[in-house]
Amino acid sequence: MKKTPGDVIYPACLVALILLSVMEIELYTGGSEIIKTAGRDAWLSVILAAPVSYFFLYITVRLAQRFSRCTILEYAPRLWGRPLTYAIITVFIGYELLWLVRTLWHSAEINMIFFLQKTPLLVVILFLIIGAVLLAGGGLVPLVRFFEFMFPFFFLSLFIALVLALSNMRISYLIPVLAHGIRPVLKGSLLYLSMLQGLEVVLFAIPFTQNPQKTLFPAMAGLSLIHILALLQISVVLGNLGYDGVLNLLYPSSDMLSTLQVPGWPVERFEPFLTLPWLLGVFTSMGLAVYLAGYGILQLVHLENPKPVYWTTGLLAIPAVYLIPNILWARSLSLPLRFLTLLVVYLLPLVSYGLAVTRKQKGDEHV
Amino acid sequence: MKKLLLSLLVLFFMPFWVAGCWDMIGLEKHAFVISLGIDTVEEDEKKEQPGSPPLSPPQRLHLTMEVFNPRLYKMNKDKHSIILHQSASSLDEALKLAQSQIAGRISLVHLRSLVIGEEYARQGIKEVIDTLQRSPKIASRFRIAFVQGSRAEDVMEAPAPTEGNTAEIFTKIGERDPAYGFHSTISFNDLLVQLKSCSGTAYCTRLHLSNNRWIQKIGAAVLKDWKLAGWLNPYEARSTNWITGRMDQTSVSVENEEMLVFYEATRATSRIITSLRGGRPHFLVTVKTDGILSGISEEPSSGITREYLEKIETAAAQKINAEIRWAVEKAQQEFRTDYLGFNQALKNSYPAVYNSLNWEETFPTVPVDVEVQAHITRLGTKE
Repeated sequence: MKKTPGDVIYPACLVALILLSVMEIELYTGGSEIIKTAGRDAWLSVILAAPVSYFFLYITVRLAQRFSRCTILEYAPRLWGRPLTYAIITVFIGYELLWLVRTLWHSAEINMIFFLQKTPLLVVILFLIIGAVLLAGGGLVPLVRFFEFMFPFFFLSLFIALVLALSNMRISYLIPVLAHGIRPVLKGSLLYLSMLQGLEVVLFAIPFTQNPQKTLFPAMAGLSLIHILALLQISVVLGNLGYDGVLNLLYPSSDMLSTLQVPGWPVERFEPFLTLPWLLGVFTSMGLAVYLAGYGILQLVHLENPKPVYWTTGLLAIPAVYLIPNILWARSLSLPLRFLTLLVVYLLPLVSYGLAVTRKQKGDEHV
Repeated sequence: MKKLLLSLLVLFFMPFWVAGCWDMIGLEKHAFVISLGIDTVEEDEKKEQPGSPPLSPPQRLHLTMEVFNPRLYKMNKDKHSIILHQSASSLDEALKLAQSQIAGRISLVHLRSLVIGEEYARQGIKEVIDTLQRSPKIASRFRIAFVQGSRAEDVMEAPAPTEGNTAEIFTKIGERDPAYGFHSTISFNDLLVQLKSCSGTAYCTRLHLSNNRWIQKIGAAVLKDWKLAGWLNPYEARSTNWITGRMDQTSVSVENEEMLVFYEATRATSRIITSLRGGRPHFLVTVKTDGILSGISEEPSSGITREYLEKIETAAAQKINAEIRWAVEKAQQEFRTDYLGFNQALKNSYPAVYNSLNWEETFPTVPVDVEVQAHITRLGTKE
């Protein structure tokens, strides 16, 4: 058996990494925000957003390949200069922390609603955070290995749930197409693009890959899986519950699975098919957010031992969760997060790549 | 050594960390509610109620719960469930109060059906629907039905010798039981979609308790503004099902050249096509059926020819056409509300026009045309 060096990951692992990084609470919310924005054409929003996301991912991968053994925070001073790099790192840390707090809050909320109503909230989130910090503390390579290991459990259960839901869906709930024009669909596409938190991991993972020049295809495959699952999920949620049925729901995916009746199946409830991928998605996303936020802080303060930084980052998220009293406040947190996603996931790689090309910067020297 | 100590420490604390223990409840400690019945509170019951705390709304809901009893099931009793009653000001309060009557924790995880009495349904069901929809434990595939002329509790206490419990009867009524077109059945989720998209208008399952206390599924219940507005008899329900596409299989008898012919529609597809004429909406209902020639009172002397079949097809189409017109007239003139789905068709095709109209006022006068094509695809096993 071929041995793998301890600090290197195979390019193919990017598929699992991207999928598990991006998909988390959306598994429960079922793209409800996109459906509320684009109506019956929400599925079209995903299709229209896909080429745009491929373009930006292509740019991101090309940028990472150009500086094949450095992360963006390491080569940023060569492109942006030191003062702007500090600003970028600060925004980046804020974005990752916001993502962590939002994910943790929603996980606690979903847990309190569906699973453990009597268990103290602190116990649940403490366990999640401890697990996420221990996962992040090992560095990116063990994190990716964990993602790779969990990928089949995540993908298969989610895929089975969505395919089962296909049998009950009504196409009439998805038509007519473009009844309200193209504008709501485009807004839905923008919203969908702004929900792809975690895609920035490509910039940090490619330098650790065995061959950075072979990472474009796995990255595109990972993103394609996200689009396929999102398209399936939005279609089955709309096709089972109808647009009017989704409007007031907080967690339509769970509601959709609770409507399923599959003749011949010995089980009555299909919701557990969603529970496992959700738990994995949330846990892996939190692990990644802790790692990236901690990594950003380490770039600012240059500490030798990174573990206290990861622990502080993770434990700081716990009181932050208690500051959000209900879902309406949590929603208001989503708006800045989406704006920052557009900034960090799309704009930062695009402008950085433009600067690298115009200034003819490449290579692995640190500044 | 350091790792070993850490592992031992983790093992020691692990029993205290098992997050699930706060919520752990054994299967045998649950009381699984399989059916809920909702009625108004009777006058006698109101008098017996103890004093209410300050600022409490009056008791207005009588809840009947059918709880599955595994012990009765093991003992091979005719009925595997017990019935509990509780009055309260709301469904949620009634469920909490009813807990005092039973040792197991009341759980709605396996709720199969909801039955609503006529009197309660006429006052409005919005509050009950909202409470059930908010509960994360309830799977919204359970069936919902309205009882004509009786209380829901009477229906739930009716004998169920073949099924073991009344919830099973309701579920069978709703699920794969052939409808033959004469009644309408609907799941909670489908009813919700219909009610939300049509401002509280829908048509759904109607139950009736016969003189010998058997539960009958027959016709349909019409809801308007989240309240029960009236009933459809079996033929009215069938004529409505032609338009809404809820037709599974039905038999249509037609007269042709003084002979009685039975046409069994085994497949029906319907479509509502919307257009604008002079800025006003106009609808065309198209129905296509495939079916079997299931019987003739007297065979024609020339035998069954292609011309003969075409004549029967035309007669069957005319009959179905007349039924559909009858259904439209019933909705427009008697109920004056759109439970047939024309509003959804208009909303889909011309959202701006729909938003500019007061649909409840417009619907009774909108023109509706009907086109039916009936095809005979099989002759049974006789030529």
